[in-house]
Amino acid sequence: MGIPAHRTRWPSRRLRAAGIVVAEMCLLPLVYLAGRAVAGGGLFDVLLRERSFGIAGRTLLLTAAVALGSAGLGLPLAWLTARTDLPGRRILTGLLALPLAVPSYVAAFTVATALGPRGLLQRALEPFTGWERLPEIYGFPGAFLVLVLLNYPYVYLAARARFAVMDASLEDAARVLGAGRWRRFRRVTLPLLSTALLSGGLLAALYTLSDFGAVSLLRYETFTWAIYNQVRGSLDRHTAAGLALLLVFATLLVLAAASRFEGASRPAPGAVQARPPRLHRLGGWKWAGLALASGVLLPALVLPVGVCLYWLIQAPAGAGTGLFAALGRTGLVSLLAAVATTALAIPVAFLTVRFPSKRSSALRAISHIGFGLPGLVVGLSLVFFAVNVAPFLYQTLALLVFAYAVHMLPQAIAPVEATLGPLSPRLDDAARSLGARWLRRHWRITLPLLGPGLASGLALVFLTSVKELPATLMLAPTGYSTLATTVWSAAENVELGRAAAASLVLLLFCAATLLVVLRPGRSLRPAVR
Amino acid sequence: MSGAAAGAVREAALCCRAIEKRFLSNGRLDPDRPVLAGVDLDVPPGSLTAVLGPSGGGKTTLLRIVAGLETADAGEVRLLGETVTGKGVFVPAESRRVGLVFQEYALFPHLSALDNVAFGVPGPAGLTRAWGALQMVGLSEVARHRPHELSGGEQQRVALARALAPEPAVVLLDEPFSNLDAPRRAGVREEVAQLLRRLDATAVLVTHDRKEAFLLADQVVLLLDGKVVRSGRPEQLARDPGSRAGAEFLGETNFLPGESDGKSALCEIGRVEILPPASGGEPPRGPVEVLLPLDGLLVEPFLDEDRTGSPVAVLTRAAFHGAFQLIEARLPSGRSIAARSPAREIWQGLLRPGQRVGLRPAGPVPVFPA
Repeated sequence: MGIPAHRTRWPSRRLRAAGIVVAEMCLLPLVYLAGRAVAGGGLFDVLLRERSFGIAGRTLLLTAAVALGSAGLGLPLAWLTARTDLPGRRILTGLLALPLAVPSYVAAFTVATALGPRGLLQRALEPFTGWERLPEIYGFPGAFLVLVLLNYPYVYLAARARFAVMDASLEDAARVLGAGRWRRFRRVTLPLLSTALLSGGLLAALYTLSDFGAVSLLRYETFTWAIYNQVRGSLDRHTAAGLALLLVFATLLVLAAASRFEGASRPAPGAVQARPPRLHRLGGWKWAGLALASGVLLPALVLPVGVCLYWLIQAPAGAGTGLFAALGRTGLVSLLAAVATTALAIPVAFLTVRFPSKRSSALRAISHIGFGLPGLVVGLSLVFFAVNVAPFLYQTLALLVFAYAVHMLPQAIAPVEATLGPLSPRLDDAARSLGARWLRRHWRITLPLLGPGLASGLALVFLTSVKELPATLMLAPTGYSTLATTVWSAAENVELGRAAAASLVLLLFCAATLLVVLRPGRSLRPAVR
Repeated sequence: MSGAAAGAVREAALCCRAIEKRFLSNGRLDPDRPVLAGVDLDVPPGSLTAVLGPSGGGKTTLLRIVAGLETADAGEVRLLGETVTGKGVFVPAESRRVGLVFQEYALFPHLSALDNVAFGVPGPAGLTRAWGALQMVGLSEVARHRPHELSGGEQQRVALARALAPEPAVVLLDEPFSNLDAPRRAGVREEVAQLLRRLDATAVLVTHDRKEAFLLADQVVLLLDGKVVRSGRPEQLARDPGSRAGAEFLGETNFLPGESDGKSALCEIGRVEILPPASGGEPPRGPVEVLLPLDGLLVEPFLDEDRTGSPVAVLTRAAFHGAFQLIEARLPSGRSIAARSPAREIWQGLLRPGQRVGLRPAGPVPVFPA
């Protein structure tokens, strides 16, 4: 049938224009930051200081470790819930995505107070064991533990979305060719999952690069914490900008590595009429599967909730004042952000999947930049931009939504790409030959088929917006306190009861959202039916 | 290049003139690799034209240009007399009224069979038409089924019904039978051809299968390396494939070197009469290659030394195929030559390995310059 036609076609003018607009939006904070760091001399100062190299080394170590750890945890969990008869997998499917809803500052603060050398665990154990101190949790071990437990769902969800559209006949084909279970997995399933693994692992790595809550509370000095200290401690914006620019370089390094692997392993658009997969029988191995799932859920979900409940019980009256209003404000701004971000992700996904080229890889890289920038830096740069260039935007919800969109775009892109990849471009050709114009084609064909990816994208962005802290602190209009900022300011003021109450409302809100949007049997069902 | 339908009385339903297309390689036009190098195509109304050629020969690209899914670098496409691709004109696919049946069917996986067919005929009246189209292909019982619940043959018929429901000016079928298993394929393609004829639909079928093209089409267009090397009725093509490359693609033929005087050619099996070229010109003179089709070669047992003029070959192999036997013989030069011979020869017990045979063509044969 000749050369696949989509490789020879140009994207439409409309699609190219959309791509350019997205790229410009994503570049805006970076360009400001770079101008600021270079013109102000901050970059030069930072490069001359020995301390910077320690910060860079720690950041890269933590990033690589968390990416690998997330892939190692997310892939087996996705397989267990999507392809096996694991008992309770309907409930587990939703629960295993929940750690995504746990803000790193909540997890870090509960882990530190519970598992720290003289934390709740030590207090509980001392009467029996006489231990006066537990092993050190601060530094790398704690930061690694918390970030892996919170980030593996990126890999888990992307792998699940890919499992859902994976044609079972491919594995059958391998089986007929004489491949045993392990060989089938390694040679067929794993390569087909590689896009999902890479995009999920990439998200975990980028999240680690930009995380502030966990590393600050667990005292592991990476870029973000160092930048924060610089801004807070000395009001030295130049040095902060310099450090932030180094962080951007680190992000670009990760992106370059990822896009290199990805181009080679992206699957060609495959069979459209995928059959729903058969489930593997686990037999006695189901206990191992359940142990793995609970070993993840216990520290990632049960511990933060339990510790928060403990602080809540000990809280003074009135700790929950104003939390409902904060909940409403959080929901509104997050919904706006989710819709805007997913809408922006669609053209990017189309350009990278359907029109692979140097330009579309560049767009993809650019769209990931905002995610690598710490929320703090996105917030700071947009404050500056608004004050200097667009004063009418300053202190508006629109600017906050804009910051969220720039910051969270890859979260929407990854699942949309994963769903779009296996869809044949011929479907669009067929609709065109049947006389359907642009709007009808996309309304009737593209959107329904992208449904699972769009739902995942909306959910991911919504949840991340709900728990986003630093950019909200920078950009929220005066008095527009969200749940996240409430938790943070309460924790700052050592109002542990109020912090715990706000945390619990936030966690419940996120959990409810996840259960509605990612309800098993709806959007996580095989996309193509 | 041959313009077979140049003298057509009725205006062709689909008419392509000098279509050129180059593909991008590394974002740049590659001048050395034209996919289509000046293709002409005329499809009379109500006829089935097969575009026949090897994979990568530009067939699918031609189809996509006609459908408006691809632009042409040069040339013109006219549908029912209206220019849809040409200088400064490009009617987009959704406005062309061209039906398309894809190799992999491209049924919308989230829509039922009926909704797939109804997609091209929106509105309440469309649903009735879609239902009618499904009935026409005999699939009204599975109207509510999704594509993955249908067999390959059923999916194929849904795709056909979907393409036909909007009553397109022309239906384009891109290797529509290649995804079917062989026993079903024969039946399905017969059905499809009958249906298209019953509806008096104008259809273009793209295929790499010579038998399929010959069996189904009123007109066959042989497309090699982006050029039409020959077009005409199937039997015309079988007799004269237009070029050495065309003959090689169609296969089942022998080539012998010869010397032409314009009317006949002398080659190792004797003097043979030359078939005037389909393009109209004079037959080549001088050194030529003589084309001897397997089916157009008479094999005669050489019994009698007195019969003169029949050069002798030695039969090396006679493979029995039921209705015919496949003969291989060695000429004095050592060259091997193949022919198909009716099975009745077996009864006479004459064609056995070692037997000396005479060979002559059943009629005039094409020659190509050597």
